[in-house]
Amino acid sequence: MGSELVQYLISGISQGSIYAIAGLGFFIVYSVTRVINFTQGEFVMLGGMFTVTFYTMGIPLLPAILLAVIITGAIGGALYGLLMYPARRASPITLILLTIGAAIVMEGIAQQAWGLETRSMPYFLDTPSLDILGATMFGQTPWIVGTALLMVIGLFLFFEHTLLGKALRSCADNPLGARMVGISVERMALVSFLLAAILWAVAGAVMVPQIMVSVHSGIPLAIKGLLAAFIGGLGRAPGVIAGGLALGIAEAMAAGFIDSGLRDAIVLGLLVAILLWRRGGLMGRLGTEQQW
Amino acid sequence: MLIGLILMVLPLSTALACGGGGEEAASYRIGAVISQTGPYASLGSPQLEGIELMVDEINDAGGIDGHPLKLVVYDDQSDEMQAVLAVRKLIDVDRVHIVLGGVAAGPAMAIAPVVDEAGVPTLLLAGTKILDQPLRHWVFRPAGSELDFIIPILNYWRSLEPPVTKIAVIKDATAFGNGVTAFLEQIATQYGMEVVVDESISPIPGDVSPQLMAVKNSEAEALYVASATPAGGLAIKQAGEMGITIPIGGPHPLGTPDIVAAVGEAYEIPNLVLVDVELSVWQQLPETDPDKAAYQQFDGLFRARYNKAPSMWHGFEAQHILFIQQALERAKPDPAARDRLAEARAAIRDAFETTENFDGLLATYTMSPTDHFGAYLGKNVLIRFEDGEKVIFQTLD
Repeated sequence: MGSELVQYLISGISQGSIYAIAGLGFFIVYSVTRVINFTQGEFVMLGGMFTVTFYTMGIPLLPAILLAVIITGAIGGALYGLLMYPARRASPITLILLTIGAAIVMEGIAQQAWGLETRSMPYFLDTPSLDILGATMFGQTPWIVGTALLMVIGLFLFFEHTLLGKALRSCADNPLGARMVGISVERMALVSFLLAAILWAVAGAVMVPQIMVSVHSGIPLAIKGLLAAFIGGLGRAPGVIAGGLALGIAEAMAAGFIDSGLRDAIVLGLLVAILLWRRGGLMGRLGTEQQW
Repeated sequence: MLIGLILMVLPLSTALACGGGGEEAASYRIGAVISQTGPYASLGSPQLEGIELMVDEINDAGGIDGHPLKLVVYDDQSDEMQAVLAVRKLIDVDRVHIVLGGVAAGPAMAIAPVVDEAGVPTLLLAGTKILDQPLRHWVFRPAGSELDFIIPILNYWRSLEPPVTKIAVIKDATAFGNGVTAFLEQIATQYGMEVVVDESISPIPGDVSPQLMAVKNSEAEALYVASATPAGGLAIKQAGEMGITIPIGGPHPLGTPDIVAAVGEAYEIPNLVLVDVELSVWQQLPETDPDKAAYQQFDGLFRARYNKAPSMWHGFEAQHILFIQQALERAKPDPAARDRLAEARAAIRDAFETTENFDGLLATYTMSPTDHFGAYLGKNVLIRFEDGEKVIFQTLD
């Protein structure tokens, strides 16, 4: 019994860390632009696919990840420049539909480029799996959780202690006010897309050795990241992180204690309950802007 | 994915059109509903390669009685509803003689009642016996089944000392996974076994350590991975890392090249034994094997066109086209008579049903009015993985 609980926690935290990073990307784009960016999962997929491609070409791990992140980030910037910026005056619904369309196109192009095979690579530095109190921690788990932790700390420092970070926050709080003090909201929107793409690419890169990647990995991950963000309430970063972890742990507990066949039904049922109970999510302000 | 249905019409070998009718009408029209996008695309894409190879081979050799085969392919996007829409279009618009489709159990289940009601002879591709019930007048399935990929594993487990009596199942949360598990639970008692753990995994690969923990902490003496997706391969990898050393078995798809490539060395554990088709390890078969020459011929044909080794899926679909060929050769319907389509379809259906000892690449099939599956055990072997290679562990006869 004890070892089972530990196993569910380890599994939940490692999956939840991926959901949390994915959710944070949603949060950043949403705060600045009020757009739910459905290309999220495709960027996680791209980050993973590029990493595994470069790695299997013989490029060492760290440069392979860096290259993957840079390229994926550039695609994120291009998505904003080519699609979102020209359409910025459209209604949020139109913009959201645009991101859905872009996600489908990205998946199609990726399928042409990489084919349909599922890909994987060894755990980073061939880290061995560990036995903890009778439970198993896969070799990649410390890398996933560690990376998530570092990114959260890095984001905190960025938002609290850099001018760019503060400018982003001001756009999120009050776009009109930000414009009045001379901050280009459009430029901040671009930064948010870049930043989100980078976060997603890193999530994709650390995820591959543990759960593999294929060109179809994007949409399911987008849904999980979105759920994480909604559970936490889209408006606050700590809420999103907690939401991601809660989702991961809830999945593991539901699969372990109740019924693995009902896992998704149980987790989605919980989500509905949470949103009915607190319309803004666990810690958030989602839905509090409009009353109806 | 939403871009829509992809229409592919292969070039016809024209000169051979049979007297009277136009060139269009003189070909046998085969409609295929294949998953080319979505989660089942890893099954559908190679299957389509196998279909195209065989159709072109037959056409290059002059068609069937001088009539070329015309292939119309739609993508069902791994989605039941799209499969039904596609099959309706094949029946009503393309007016095909034969439907071929449903690479996975879900889409296959969805199209079966539609073709049956419309009266179009149909071959289902998915490999689970749940599709054989109820028996449908127009639907045939010269494919694989649980008989192929469960019974050899159970026989092996029973031969161990001490014999396995309690088994755990980890299954894809799909129609395939459910069908296989239901069959396993039903047949296990005949082998003195019972299923003590039954866990589901998402067909999208993920961390399945909670499910494996349930297996590890149970009294199960063997684990069957009822999966046709990379998620099952990943589950086996994680089982190895979690120190699960009880015998592990699984069906053919877990040994197909892309899943093997993704799982890599983690498959090379001594307790893993998979069922595979003889075709995929034909080089290792003894010279006395009656099918070795046929495998070698297909292998050569396939490599000449695609420059890679054929996988099970390729052989599987090539077999369906050969099955259609033998039926058309016997039925000899006149494809030029546009107003007698229903008659032609009925003749082909009857030829499907009277197929006797069709010697396919994966099994030998004999159909009857009460059996539209037609095989007992296919041409299979048990394999293990050693030094990056599939190695025959046990031949089955």
